Amino acid sequence: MSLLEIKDLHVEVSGKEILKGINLEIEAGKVHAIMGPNGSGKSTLSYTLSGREGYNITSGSILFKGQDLTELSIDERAAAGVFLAFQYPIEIPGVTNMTFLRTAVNAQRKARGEGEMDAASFLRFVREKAAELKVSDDMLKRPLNVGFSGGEKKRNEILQMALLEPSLAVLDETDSGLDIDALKVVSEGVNALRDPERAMLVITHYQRLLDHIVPDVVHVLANGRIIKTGGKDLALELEKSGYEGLIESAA
Amino acid sequence: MSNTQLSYSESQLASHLNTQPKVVDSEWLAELKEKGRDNFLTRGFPDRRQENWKYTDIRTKFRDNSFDAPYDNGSREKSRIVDEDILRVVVQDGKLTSIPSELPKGIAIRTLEDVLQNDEFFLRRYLGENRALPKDGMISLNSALLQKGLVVTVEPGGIIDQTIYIERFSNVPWNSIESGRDIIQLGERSSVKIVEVFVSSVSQFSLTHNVSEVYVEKGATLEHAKFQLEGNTVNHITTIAAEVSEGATFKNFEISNGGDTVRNETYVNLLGEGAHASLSGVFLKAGKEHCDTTTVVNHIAPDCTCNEEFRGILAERARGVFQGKIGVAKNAQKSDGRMMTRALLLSDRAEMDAKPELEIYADDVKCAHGATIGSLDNEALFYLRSRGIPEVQAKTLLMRAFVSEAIQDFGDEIIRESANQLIEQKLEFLSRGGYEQF
Repeated sequence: MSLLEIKDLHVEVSGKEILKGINLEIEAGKVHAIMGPNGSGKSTLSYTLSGREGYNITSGSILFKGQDLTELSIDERAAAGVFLAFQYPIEIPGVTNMTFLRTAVNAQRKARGEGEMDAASFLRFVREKAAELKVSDDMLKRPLNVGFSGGEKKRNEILQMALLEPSLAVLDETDSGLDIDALKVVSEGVNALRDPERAMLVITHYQRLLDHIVPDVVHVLANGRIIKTGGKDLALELEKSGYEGLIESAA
Repeated sequence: MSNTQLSYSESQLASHLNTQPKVVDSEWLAELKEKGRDNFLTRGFPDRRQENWKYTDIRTKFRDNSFDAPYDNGSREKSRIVDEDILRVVVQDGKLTSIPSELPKGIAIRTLEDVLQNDEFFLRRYLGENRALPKDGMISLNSALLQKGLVVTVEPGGIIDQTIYIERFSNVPWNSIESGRDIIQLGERSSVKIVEVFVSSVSQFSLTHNVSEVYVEKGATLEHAKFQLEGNTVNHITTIAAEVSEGATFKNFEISNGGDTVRNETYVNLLGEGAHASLSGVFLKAGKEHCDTTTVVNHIAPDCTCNEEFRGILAERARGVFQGKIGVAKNAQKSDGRMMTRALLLSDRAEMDAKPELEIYADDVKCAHGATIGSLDNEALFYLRSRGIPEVQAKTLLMRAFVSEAIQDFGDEIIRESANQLIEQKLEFLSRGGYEQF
């Protein structure tokens, strides 16, 4: 059984159909990449998976660990193991990063019937993971994402992923706004989280990210449909020929 | 004078005032009360035609006696501050019922009656003499009803480290007024921290009306906080009038959490060079609750500063009002004034009226004001929930962040921490949907 099974998924946003029949299966332990031009529906797919309001499924199904994902609320999906790394992480003044992280970890533990972590053991847990991702103590003390650089925001997203240990991580344009050095740190962080139990869905516009996070499968999304699926070489091919040629030949 | 134009409650009051027995043997005080009565009978309860009562219609309120079904808002026990470092004073229905047997050197806490008997000279100097005190029907009524109150004095140079905690507990009969007048007087270079907590157990329509006359002498520092936590059938109007002298600091922080119609008035006169006032507060309202924050800060001497920071969250049909005025007199050069109010509306039917006002007669001043009214940020809510934080908890976290700016700068840690705890409870109530969840 696949970890994630999407069948003939149609999604409307503000009355306009964006996803027009997506079929996608991801097995645990695999990294899938979705590439596509702007407006192809990449972000819509990631928001639909996380349950964001305003993304209306008109037909099709999403099974996660064999369970109907669409019946779960946003936070229930997270507790079940779905994680979305945001393209533009939200700044929340007045909530420190540390408070946010602890609240999230404990909320998920509680939802799964596990005991909450006390402040001291959580601090040890965070410090260890934060060091690996070069997230400084100062970044932990500051209000969530406020005044963080693009790279710091993305590192903080990966830190959340490391702490929450999801079974499915959706990375939405994680490379956007990153310079080469930041891209390296973030990719190393993601690679360290590759695990036989965990699947990843890497959404990106550019091939560049896939040099660092090497996928098992690459899909090309255009106009709300997956028009081509292949191995990691498909990304290289796209880099050479561009999306246009592929879209035309698929049409 | 005819009483016919008075509303029901006022005519009741008028006859009550006319037949009130003489409780004290002081001609001076009797005169002051009589003057209050006459002024009240002329002025009546403030109505909406008076500009600074435009948004809070207490005249109609008291005539109609309309209020929500009783809801036991945070019991007395819940709101009690437990800390070894505080000096606990209990006031039951306006009467002083408990006070520490030993107070630190330099501070005295007495009743108004006490001071009248032993130190009338003090009262003559400070009672009703505050230059920041407004002249309206409510103050007149308070003078007419003068009987109960506390007098807190700190000797010059007296530094009181422990926080004074005054718990005011009221359980008055239906449709009655709990009226009090306090004096807080800090001698030169002294300092004290006072928190007053208003709680009630009544489910009766009533009015808590308290007027405090505050005098902060040269170089002294007063940190004053008020936690308004009465049940939702209790109306609450308090007026703080403060005279702040040269180099002195007056900080006032208030939480309005409960009550029916609530009005928090703070009037400050910055009388000496380098005087500073800092006013902040948080109001959290639901149902049909109404909360009015009215502040007037007058910069009278040069080089004075004031800072105002208020945050409100309004759910269901709650209504919030902020009227803030900073006045700068002609010779109050180098005045620095800042005033900010932000409100969060959790429902389409909630309402916020903000009226910041600057009246400046000097030409070398820095004054700024701002007001925002908005709703919870859905993006932020989605972000938190996508990390597994359930909706109610996520909303509570965002609201907590929203109000935190009005709390974080208040100096006294005990007061700040208790404020945080109180707010947490109410925010969860609001996140779950206010009264409608029941």
